[in-house]
Amino acid sequence: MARSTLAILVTLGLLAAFPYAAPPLYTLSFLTVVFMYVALAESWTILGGYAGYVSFGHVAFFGVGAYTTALLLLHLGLSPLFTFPVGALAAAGFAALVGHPIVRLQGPYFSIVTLLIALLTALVVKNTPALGGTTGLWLPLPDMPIEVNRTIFYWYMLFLAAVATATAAWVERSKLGLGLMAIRQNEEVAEAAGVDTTRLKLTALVLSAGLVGAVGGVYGYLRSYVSPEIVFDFNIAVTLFLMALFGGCRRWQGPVLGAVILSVIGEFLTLNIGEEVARIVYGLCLILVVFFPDGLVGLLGRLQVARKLESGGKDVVKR
Amino acid sequence: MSMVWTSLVSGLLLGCAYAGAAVGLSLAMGMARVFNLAHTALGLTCGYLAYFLLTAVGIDPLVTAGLLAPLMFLAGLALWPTLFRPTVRGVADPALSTSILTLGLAIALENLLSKIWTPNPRIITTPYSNQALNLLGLTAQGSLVVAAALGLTLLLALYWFLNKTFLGLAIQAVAQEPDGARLVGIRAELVSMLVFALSVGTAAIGGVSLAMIYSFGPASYFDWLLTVLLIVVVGGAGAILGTLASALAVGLVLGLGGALLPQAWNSLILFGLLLVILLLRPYGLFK
Amino acid sequence: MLEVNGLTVYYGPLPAVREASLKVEAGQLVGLIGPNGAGKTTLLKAVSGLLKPAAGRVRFDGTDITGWPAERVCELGVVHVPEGRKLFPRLTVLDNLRLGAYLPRARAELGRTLQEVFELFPRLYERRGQLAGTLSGGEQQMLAIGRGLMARPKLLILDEPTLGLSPRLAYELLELVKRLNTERRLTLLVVSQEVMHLLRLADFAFIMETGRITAGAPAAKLVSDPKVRQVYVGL
Repeated sequence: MARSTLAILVTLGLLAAFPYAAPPLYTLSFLTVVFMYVALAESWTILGGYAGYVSFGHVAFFGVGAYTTALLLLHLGLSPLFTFPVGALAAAGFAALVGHPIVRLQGPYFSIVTLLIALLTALVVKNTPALGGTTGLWLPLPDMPIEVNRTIFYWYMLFLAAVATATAAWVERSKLGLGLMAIRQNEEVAEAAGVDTTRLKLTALVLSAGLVGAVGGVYGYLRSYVSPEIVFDFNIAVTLFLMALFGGCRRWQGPVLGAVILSVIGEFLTLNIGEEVARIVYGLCLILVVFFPDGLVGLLGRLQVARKLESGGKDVVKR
Repeated sequence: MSMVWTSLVSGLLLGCAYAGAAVGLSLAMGMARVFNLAHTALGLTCGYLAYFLLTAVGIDPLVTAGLLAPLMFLAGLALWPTLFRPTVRGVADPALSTSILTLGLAIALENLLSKIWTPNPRIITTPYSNQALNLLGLTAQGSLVVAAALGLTLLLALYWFLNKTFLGLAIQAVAQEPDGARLVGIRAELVSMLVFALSVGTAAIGGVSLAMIYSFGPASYFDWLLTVLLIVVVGGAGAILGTLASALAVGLVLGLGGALLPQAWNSLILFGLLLVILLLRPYGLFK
Repeated sequence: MLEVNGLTVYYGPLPAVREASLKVEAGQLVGLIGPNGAGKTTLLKAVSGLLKPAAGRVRFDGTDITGWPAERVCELGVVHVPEGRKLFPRLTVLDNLRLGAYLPRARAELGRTLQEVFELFPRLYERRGQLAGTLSGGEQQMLAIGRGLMARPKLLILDEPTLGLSPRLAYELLELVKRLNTERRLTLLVVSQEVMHLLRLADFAFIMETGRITAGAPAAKLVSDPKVRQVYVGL
């Protein structure tokens, strides 16, 4: 265990130091987005992967976080780089508010309802002039050279990615995680065994929403522009859980893998063929994922077991 | 005042068209147990094909609908064993799996359509599209009347099929009590496959209907999906006449609402309603 | 006619039926009795194809039907009227019956069979336009048996046809079942809680306890068996 922790810390250190190697701005920006998706996918997994409550509309919390920090910036002059925890709290609060009724729902109904919530939130924002309506809110750029600007957002997203991943890893090993996975296996049985499923699900939802809200809070500032299309983007909603499912949403390692691999593939396709093709591939991946519910991590795990059995067999023969 | 009446009539006609688009999903969800979130995306694809054939070769969309429906039916037959049976069979929550699967399909289709036809909105214009037809002294748009007729015909045909033919009864039997159906010799698997293929076939007709009424883009499938979902949930999945009733109601809201309220309110009301209904009936439509 | 050999069927992780064997000869009325939870329903389901056995053989008229799906088993003439009836609740009595004759073999004689069933159950004729789900318990049971008869079975399996019926209705139903056997030469395998009545009517009977067949003997012998009387009638 200590060896992999060391490896993780070293990787984080290298990633943090990366900007000092004066990489192209494009690479910094790309990695920033990758980190963002790692953070989003890991947060989503806490509810979607561990408990099996697949949320299609997690982007609602993303948007709430973004709008919160944007408003704080525009009205109180506070930088989102400091107020993103407030964005997290706002998103968590929103989740707590809508959570009670929706967490009772099963399977696809839960998914569709979360989608509706995201949609309705976007609609409400679109129709509220105070929130910028459809035109959105323009945020002033921080006053600094662009390399510094990009580096700061890079570090922030890296930080959030690390926090989200660590949180997911912690939840996975905690009693909360055990309870959530019991819920996923068989909710009725878990309830009968005395697990307070509603409380656990709400906790997962609120925690997950808060993390996503933090990321949203930073993202708005990164784009210098917050509008319903951008922060309640259906594409973001789907991509984040696609990445979690693809990488494997039962373990914390999965979403990282999924986010990295799919980001790279997506970027490659977008640059060389076009964005639509990238999204077609994402759509096809979503279909594929249904046949591999444990994702890439699950596949790799099975390969490992197969290999161990093979080598174990050879040992027996040698003796 | 006559504007209200005209909106009423338009609303009812719109409802009929939507009924045709929704009935397939009602069948899929109620009888084949498939949450086909790609239903409207498939329909939209057919709408695009109708547009293409009209603008490129001058073929009337009604003809295209007639051609595409059986083709889509066959596609549904092919799709079921390859895509749906493996997922529906072995997984803990097949409804969720099929939702995710079909969502992926919808997204792939949307972007495929965008790639081929760009995101620019398209309109289907036939010689009769903009003709003002006279219905009992009120005027209605030609395209709306045709789409409504298409939807209504489809619905009635399905109603007749399900209630007056042996196969239709067998379909209902499998939906109501699959074990009981097996025990009288009905091949439940095949029936489910048939229903799904039927659902996909009707999606073609429904899609062309809506494409004749609205200007559409690749992302249109989404709004259509939510509207159709609302209709199915209110009318009861698997209930043909219920689908018609709720479609007419939704059509009225859209028609009257469109005339009396600002556009944004329409969406808010409809989708808010869908949300509330789903929350109040958490165990959905399957027992 | 029906031969079950060493059948083992799992219900979840537990074996509900262990190496059960029984036989039904053509023309017989055979009873299957045993306490609740003994596995009788599971055994019948494995015979008719609703469940797949883990081990053992099922043979009907010489054909090995082990593991066959219910649709195919029904085609051979084995008709199972299940516990809980499994009627089509939102279809009419008439439609339920007509669907009973779904198979081509039975559909060819639908009109004739329908008439026979209505003669047997005049109450069903009266209520033919009513939705099956709105019938009383006794009427539903009649409909279930009627639907089974529509398939023109060679072997009719009845699982708890008397459950939930008043004592008088239960009595009449079993008498009717006996008449089906004697007048129409219908082979029957019946599970019923009305143990003593069933034993008096049946030719042969098997006892099933905790998944195993513990006894198989002519019904007349079992009627007078003191253990049977004590356990199942509480005397």
